[in-house]
Amino acid sequence: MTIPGTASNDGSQERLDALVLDYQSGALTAERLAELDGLLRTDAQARARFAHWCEHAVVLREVATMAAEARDTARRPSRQLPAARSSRRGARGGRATSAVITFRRVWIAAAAALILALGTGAFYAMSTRASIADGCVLARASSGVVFSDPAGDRPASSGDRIAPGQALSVPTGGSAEVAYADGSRVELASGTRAVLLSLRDGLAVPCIELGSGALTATISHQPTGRPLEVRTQLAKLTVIGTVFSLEQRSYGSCLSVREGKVRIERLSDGAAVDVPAGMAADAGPEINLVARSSGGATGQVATLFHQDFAHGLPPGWDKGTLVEPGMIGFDRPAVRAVHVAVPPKNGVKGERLNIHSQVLDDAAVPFRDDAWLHLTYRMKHKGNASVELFMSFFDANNTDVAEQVYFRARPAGQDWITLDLPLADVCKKSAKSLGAGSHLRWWLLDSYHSDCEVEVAEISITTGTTGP
Amino acid sequence: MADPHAELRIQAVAFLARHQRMVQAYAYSIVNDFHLAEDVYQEVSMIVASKWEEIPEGDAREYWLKEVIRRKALELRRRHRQRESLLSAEALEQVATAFPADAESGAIGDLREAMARCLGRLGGDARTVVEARYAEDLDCATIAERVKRPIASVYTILKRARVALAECVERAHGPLPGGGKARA
Repeated sequence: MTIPGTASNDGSQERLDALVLDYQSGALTAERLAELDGLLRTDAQARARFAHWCEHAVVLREVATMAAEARDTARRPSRQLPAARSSRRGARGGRATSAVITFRRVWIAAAAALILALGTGAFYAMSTRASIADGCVLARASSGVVFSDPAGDRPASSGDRIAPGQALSVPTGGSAEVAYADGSRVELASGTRAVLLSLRDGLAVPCIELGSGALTATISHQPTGRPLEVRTQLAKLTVIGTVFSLEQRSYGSCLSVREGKVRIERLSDGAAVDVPAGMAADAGPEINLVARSSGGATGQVATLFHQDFAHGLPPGWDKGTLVEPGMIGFDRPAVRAVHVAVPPKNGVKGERLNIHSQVLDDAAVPFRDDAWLHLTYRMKHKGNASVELFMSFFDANNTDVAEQVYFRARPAGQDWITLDLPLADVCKKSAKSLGAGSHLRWWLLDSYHSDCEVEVAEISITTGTTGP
Repeated sequence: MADPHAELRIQAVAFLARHQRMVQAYAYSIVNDFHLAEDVYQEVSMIVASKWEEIPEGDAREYWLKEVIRRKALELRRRHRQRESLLSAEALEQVATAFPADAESGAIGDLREAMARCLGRLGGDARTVVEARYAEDLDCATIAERVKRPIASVYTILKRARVALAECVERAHGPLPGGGKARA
């Protein structure tokens, strides 16, 4: 590139690049800023180069953030959910928080804006709520992405509408993102072929058909009675509003849920299971259809016990109050400890804060020495509080064997912490008493010394390789 | 019968999808801050969604969009009391013309893929500094503290890394405007 009035090899381009890059780094002096300003006012090629450096910066931002996200995901313990991270706004304030917080921020911002506009009626004061069936467009596509029609393939570009019934094919090494009218978004991975909006009886219906490959979906809350369906050859998902991934593998359809809850149904026999956040399930001809930890190897993990509070406190809950989520997508429904008076000991008046589960059905949750306990909790105030978790198992003779694991108070804050503990370690004091026929009766989280507002969002026991 | 509102909604979504990169890049050129640039995109999305029927059509729509971006970006700068030096109003208006309004999707996808490959080849301090700056959005002073180097070194590392990345991307994706190689 030649800057007017200079030769191409006199260092003028190098100087322009240095000015632009220093401007983007915040390193320009007033004098050099004036020089850059003058070039941009008078030289069209300088403007083009400046614009291109800006686009480079935006792309680099996107790529670097995704790389950091991928690395963070690989390092994160299997059971730690996105909600355990810092909030996005935390990034603005602190600037030094984890890189993953900005993952997909740009699109989320746009989606949020659209949802807000649609939800508040700002969009032409529309009386009807937008749904996935209202249509979708290709928001991003790598080279080689094509619409596959019976007449043949044709190249697809961002901004292209995707007609109902039209299949989109992503080549190996490519990727694509699809945006729906209601703000929902679906990312298609390398080697994926899918129909993003099904056509039935000439009408678009809220259904995605995954033929091959994998997709990750961020689905806005769907209108009552009109859930989104996602179909493969082997399974059908029913989605109200959630974040999940679905991959079509040789042995079955593999679902992993990050937020919300998804029902997966095996088409061959109608068997179905609800898969909550942090869990996964596989639907295939030779696979047990159960919700399992999403961190374990397929076919090796089973969920023995799972409790969250997405639908309130379960019947029979004894102690603990329900805490509704503050910010959807960043907070979680949970149960908070309540004051419990205990008999004085050595003349000291007793008081503790408990979360006490309901009594579980006999033998509903068997003890397994290869199982892992997963606990997602947080403490809003640290103080000098201590927290203990009690797991009450009955042995084969129905003898109560109270077990206890103690963990130190973690730093207080809004972030959820997920502990992954081998159940055998939790129960090591009475390992000899526990064996075949032993089962969980209840669990109790007990905090004392001060009210740290301890909350539990999820507790589960799984078998297999689900440890950190 | 087709829902006319749904048709308008999907038109707006398509418009935003087509112009996403341009909005981000132009906003970034003005505010020089990724978070603020993303806020600009969000606010522009809101305006597009709520005013879609009133937005001029044809070429005028793109002029309108760039003007909204510029105003919103300047408004956000004022709101967040950005103190960094800013290009003049005249330069910012002129620069708008250099941002292609409707970039080729395939080209953007190629650029992203090339950038990802090139970033993977970056090593040592360059990788650390680039990730701190672009993934974590840290300012150079904070990065300097983290890597225990003078801030001038961080500026230099960043500049060299950006040029190295641009050259790497150019080899895979084509030259920067003007035909010259990236240098600094």
